[in-house]
Amino acid sequence: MPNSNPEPGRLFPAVPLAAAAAALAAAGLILDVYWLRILTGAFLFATVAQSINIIVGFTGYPAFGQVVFFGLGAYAVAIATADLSTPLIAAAVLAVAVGALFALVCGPPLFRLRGHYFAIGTLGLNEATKAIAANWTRLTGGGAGISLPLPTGSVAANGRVFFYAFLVLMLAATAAVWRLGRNRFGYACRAIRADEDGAEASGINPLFYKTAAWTLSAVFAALAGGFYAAWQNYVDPSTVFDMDIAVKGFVIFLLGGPGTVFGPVIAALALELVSTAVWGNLLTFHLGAMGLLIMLTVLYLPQGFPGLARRVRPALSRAGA
Amino acid sequence: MTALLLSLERLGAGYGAGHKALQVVWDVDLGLHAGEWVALVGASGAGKSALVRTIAGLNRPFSGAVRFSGRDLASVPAHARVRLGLAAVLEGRRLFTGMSVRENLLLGAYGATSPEAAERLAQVETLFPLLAARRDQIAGTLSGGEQQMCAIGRALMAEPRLLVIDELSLGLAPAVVDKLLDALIAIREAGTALLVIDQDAGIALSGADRAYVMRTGRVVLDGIADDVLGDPHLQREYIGL
Repeated sequence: MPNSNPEPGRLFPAVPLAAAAAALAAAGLILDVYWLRILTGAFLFATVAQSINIIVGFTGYPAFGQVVFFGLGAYAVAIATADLSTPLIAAAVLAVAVGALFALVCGPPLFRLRGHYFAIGTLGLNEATKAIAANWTRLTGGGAGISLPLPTGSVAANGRVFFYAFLVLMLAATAAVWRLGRNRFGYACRAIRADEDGAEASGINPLFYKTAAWTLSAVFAALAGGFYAAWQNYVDPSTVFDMDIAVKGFVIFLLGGPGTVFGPVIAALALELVSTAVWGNLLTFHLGAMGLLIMLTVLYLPQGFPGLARRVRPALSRAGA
Repeated sequence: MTALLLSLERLGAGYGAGHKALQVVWDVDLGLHAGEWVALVGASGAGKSALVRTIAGLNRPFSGAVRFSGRDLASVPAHARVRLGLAAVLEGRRLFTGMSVRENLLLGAYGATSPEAAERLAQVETLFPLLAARRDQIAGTLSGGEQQMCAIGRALMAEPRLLVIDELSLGLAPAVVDKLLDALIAIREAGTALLVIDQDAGIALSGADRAYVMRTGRVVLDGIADDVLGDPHLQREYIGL
């Protein structure tokens, strides 16, 4: 089947990537607790952005409410570890199962919608789920949230554990996106994004592939949420179903370039470092700045950083010549 | 008389559903035999594209039935119809514009194994040598005629028994249309039945065995292609020749 000339990420550039991953892994040994936390946050949002990339960038369905899976994963881990004393690994498996099942069940009705309607539908799904989490007190503790059992090690040691956990998760999500740029499944998704009627008339079952892509994206968002719950030791509805998470994930996804493989990772690291440096002083305007960034990105950088690079490089070589 | 490959039985078609439904086709009866070339002509707004979308399974019939090889397709979704041997080139060609020509073609054989797809790709590239020359070009950058070749090629990749082509000549130069018609002759000689839809009766009927003429959602005339083309009533009133 189609396997030559995939549009995103041609050959997996193994050497520079291994070097980058090794550098990040080594950073985990050297950095102090503060910087560990910043980078862990960047890995978290890179994972959320890759999750968005799978359904929005590759499949063309603007799932704005993707944070619903983050929240479900967070609650799955919180309930499993706090109430049922399940080990973290088993709780993570539960988070995957809950996120995937939710996408499988909600996908078929939601995918009857297209474009803006679908986007609003996913927003509604998140708000509804948040409301259920806030009111199903017996299961979720309601608005009071759930405190997870505190880890036993030192702050620095725990910070390191989660640094590596999120690093591995981000790399796994990126590897999944890379595969999607080359395999049959990814081709079907991109055909649907390009022309859904054309894809269906070519024998591709849109509902199947849309639901499958959403389920795959849900798994990574749910794991990110699950790890987040264990990392922060606390979940409540307004924190883990917070639209800010989805919005920030979207900003990173757009900056990174829709349908690219490494863009979201680079954008997450860049945005997290910039926001640490600058926006720490702009707490009140944080969301406003985020909105401005989305508008500027869509208007001037519709292909994200990679598009900018494609435009700047010829200009630079012209200037140099 | 052999059994019909495609039959439309008092078919009503249109867009949307429920209170927003808009019916544009009424009571169409149409039959097409295996290996036959049938033309469907009519002015813009006659309901041709709604009919094609209903045959392809993208729109639901408002009434009546679409049968393929005797089987009622009511419960067969569009993607599964391709596997039964019914492939359609939709109005506007609907290529995956960001992908290469080759990727577009290979996606047309999505249900096939890699060796099958490679074999069909070779056949399609023999039929349209231009597509072989342009195989790595992004489909959206092709000329209109090349895009139509790519769309027809993509549909052929499914090895259909019936190929439905909506708006074959729309926006294309006469020389390009002649090339496409030559390709259709070759496709039909290879055993694939054709249902060719066009506004231009001269184009749609050249090469066709039989023809149907639609006006404002109904079939108003049908018969042997040459008889239809020679019908003075039709020339004056429906086609404007």
